[in-house]
Amino acid sequence: MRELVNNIKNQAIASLSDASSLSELEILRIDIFGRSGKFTLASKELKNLKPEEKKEIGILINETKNTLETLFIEKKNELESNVRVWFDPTIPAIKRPQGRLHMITRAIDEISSVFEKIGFTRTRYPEVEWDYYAFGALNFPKNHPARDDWETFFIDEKDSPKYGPMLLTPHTSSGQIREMERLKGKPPIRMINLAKTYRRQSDASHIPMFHQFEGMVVDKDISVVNLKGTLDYFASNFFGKERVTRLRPYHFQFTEPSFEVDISCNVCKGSGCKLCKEGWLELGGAGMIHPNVLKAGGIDPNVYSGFAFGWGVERTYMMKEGLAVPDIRLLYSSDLRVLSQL
Amino acid sequence: MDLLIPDSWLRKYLDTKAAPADLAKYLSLCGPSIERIKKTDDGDSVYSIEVTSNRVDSASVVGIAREAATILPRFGIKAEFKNSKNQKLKTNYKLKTKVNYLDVKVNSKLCPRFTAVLIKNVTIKPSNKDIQNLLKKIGIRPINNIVDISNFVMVDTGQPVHTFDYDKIAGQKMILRESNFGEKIKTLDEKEFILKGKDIVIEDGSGKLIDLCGIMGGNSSCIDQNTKNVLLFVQNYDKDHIRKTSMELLQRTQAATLFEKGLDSENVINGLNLALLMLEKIKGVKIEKEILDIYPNPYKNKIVKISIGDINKIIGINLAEKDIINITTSLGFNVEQQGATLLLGVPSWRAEDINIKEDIVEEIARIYGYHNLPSVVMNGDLSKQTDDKSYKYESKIRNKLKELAYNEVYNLSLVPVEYVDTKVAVKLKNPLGLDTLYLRTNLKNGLFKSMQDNSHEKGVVKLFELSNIYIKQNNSLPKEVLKLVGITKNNKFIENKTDVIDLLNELEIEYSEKIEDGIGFKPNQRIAVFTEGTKSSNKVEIGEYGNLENGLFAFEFDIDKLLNSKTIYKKYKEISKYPSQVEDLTLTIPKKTYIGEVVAEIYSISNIVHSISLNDVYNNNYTFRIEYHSDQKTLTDSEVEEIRKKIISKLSSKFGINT
Repeated sequence: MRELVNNIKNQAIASLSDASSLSELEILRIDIFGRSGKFTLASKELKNLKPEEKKEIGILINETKNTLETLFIEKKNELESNVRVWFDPTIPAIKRPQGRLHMITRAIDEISSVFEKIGFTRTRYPEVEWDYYAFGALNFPKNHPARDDWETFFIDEKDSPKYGPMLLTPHTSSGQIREMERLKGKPPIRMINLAKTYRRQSDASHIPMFHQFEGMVVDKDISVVNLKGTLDYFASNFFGKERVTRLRPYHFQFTEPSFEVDISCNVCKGSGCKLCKEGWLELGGAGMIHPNVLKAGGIDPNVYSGFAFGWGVERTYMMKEGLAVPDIRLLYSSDLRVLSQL
Repeated sequence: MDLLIPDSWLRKYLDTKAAPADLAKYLSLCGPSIERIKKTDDGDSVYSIEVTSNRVDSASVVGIAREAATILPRFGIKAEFKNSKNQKLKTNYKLKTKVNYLDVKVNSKLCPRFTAVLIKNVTIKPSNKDIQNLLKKIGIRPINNIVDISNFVMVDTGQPVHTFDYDKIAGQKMILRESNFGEKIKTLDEKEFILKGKDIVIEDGSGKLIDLCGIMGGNSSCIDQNTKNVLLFVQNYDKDHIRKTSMELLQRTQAATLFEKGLDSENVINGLNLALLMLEKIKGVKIEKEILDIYPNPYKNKIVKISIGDINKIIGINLAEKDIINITTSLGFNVEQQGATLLLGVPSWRAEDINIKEDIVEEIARIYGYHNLPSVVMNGDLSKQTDDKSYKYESKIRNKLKELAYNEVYNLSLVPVEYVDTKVAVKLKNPLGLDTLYLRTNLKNGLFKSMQDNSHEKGVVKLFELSNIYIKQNNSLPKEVLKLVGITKNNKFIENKTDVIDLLNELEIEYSEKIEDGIGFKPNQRIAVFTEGTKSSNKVEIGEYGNLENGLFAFEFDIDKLLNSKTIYKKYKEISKYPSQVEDLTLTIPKKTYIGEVVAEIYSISNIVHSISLNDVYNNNYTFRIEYHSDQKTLTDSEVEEIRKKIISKLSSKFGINT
């Protein structure tokens, strides 16, 4: 009999420690303390015992019962404190109104910060300029196609006797001469000029106003190798380590030699796809500054040399983001349904 | 300029085993850019090639073959140029300055080289299949044996060729001259043009214009099914005249895009040779042996000097003399050495574009290969900084407005007349249309349009733009003024105002405000913002905000004035040891009372009124949260109560306010 009571106790303790929910605990309680539970059955056995045994076992049963009841309460408290109260984490987040900086602002910030790290100074020069700064001083011959009414916007104003017609800068390169003048023809120069530029064009891939960034470095012994170094620095910082650039021969009036800079396509990884040309995307132009341009800026081309590059902000940023905007004019939309996607 | 060249045609002049893909890759790195390769049904490959405007010498099958023969060996691929290098006329013909079959008068400034030859007894019929096929591959529709020859020669040699029906030229007489204003010509494609003058034209013996030179032939003298005698015409024209006519009349023919870049007059002979070779194959033809050639200023060898040291300094590496000589020779230069200096004789086809030593450097560097150059960021000192602080300032403003849930907009600077103040607006001479006639004199009108573009948005919309406006100045460039304008709809005034004040606080500007009416604003609903200028003690208006007549809210600031505004003096203050007492006070304020004045009044009552904020408004009931604080001691309830009573009685007597 003593053994039976001890068995009940041991089994109950084992089951208690296994119980993981209140409902399991309740089943266990009924099994032990219930009307036809183990203690009830054990008590019924008492009458078959001798009187002294009866007393002894009775005390044992009561003690065991008390011990187990305490354990039950402890277990119940433990389970109750662990119980999951109803809580709804699926409730939708509140749509708080959010502000957004325009893609062009973000692009300009990113681009200028890359160049500022290698010592470029940010500058700002007129958007409405004289022909001299936009073309004349940049070695454009008088009758160059870019200088005619078909490609450049001219202002309805009198020509300057010294600087020629007034126009909207078709490229940020007009900042080259301005920067040489700011530094009074005294290199070193490391300029990054980001500005609005204008060309007489409007279709799905052209807008009359867009943004360019112009880099210019002038010092002693600046070579093509340095131009390559700077462009590679920009490409790996701006586009990512896995992208590579290449230079191809090209032609610009204000640089000699001139290059077209390509970057490997991030979609096909250089193997050729619909978006690119045989694995390459055109970034823009670059070159060694033409000696006539240095001369115009008051710098002796026999002592100093330099390079420059001028690329479209919108194009460069879209190339980074892989943004496939079907019509570039969308970048200048005010519709929040468009802006929120750029 | 873009051109299409079939691989099979290219190999007529190029002996190489290079696969089309390799050819494209290597040419793109060192010469003309081959952007795409398209396979044709018969197994040929057609290259799409971009040739830069200074390299019109390579805008032909021969030109590309010449480049390839120089470039491919640099990549270890054998390649041979199969064209003879000396440009001599086929031996059975003679060049003459006068011929008996054509009487011409040529202005050699307009036409530096004029050649023509008569081909008699021609039968007009389709060309052979091979020629038709090649033309079709590059998108040219075969027409007949004569027209196809002129197209074929142009693509092959880069030299445009024209053919006339000889019998349609009145009097077999030609005068090549500049056109006069108002003259008319009907071209081959049946379009009639009224000329503006200074176009290169040819008039025949009857005074009629029969050719719009370099652009397209005249309709009246064109080859047709019944043509018997053909006048073959191979010329070079002044590039600027051609460019002008082509752009003015919007006639961008292949011939025009070649001529306008400036062609090599020596190449005329190559065009003639190929045309003659093809014409000779037509059965029964009789070609005059004397060819008219008016060429008063033949090409003289041009020489550019450069030292080996300069070459290496500009490129940034150390190329051996032998390499440099090899590269230049392979490009057709005639190299002569004088110590460390090279004298380079420029081939005629490069005469337009090679002028200075840097041009030579480019040739050497590209053929050596830009991909073979190392990549090194320069050392050296940094340049002197500008004193322009505005970039960081602009960023600060933009970021604050973003935080305040504004969306940034970029509108075009070019606007229609109704957007500007025409008295100060800068006007374009050649706008794209009425929409781009002026430069904007304000940002607001653009933003109104931006708001209209968001008419689908039913809730609060907040937009801003930070950009230049342009103000005309006499005899100098316009003033470019950086402005900030924000605009909102469906937003409470108090929210709008809070945004503006938050921005001014972010910029730490010490400002004051005044109600002043202004254009576009509802009466009494515009606030002008002032600061003490740092440069003078006078107050300077830096901007404005308020409710507009059109129902929107707007604020506007001048960035330069913000930058020069007086800023709040910053000094660290110890955190007070004494606690504040805070209580809410609800006041019933009569209508048409300026709450700003009420608040100012409360502050003026005692210096223990530390801060006041408006927490709630319900009808005329305004709940303010007032913080009482003293730096000297802990305030007692009775001290606070005394002040509160003073406030209430003062507000009651001054404004009729009840609690």
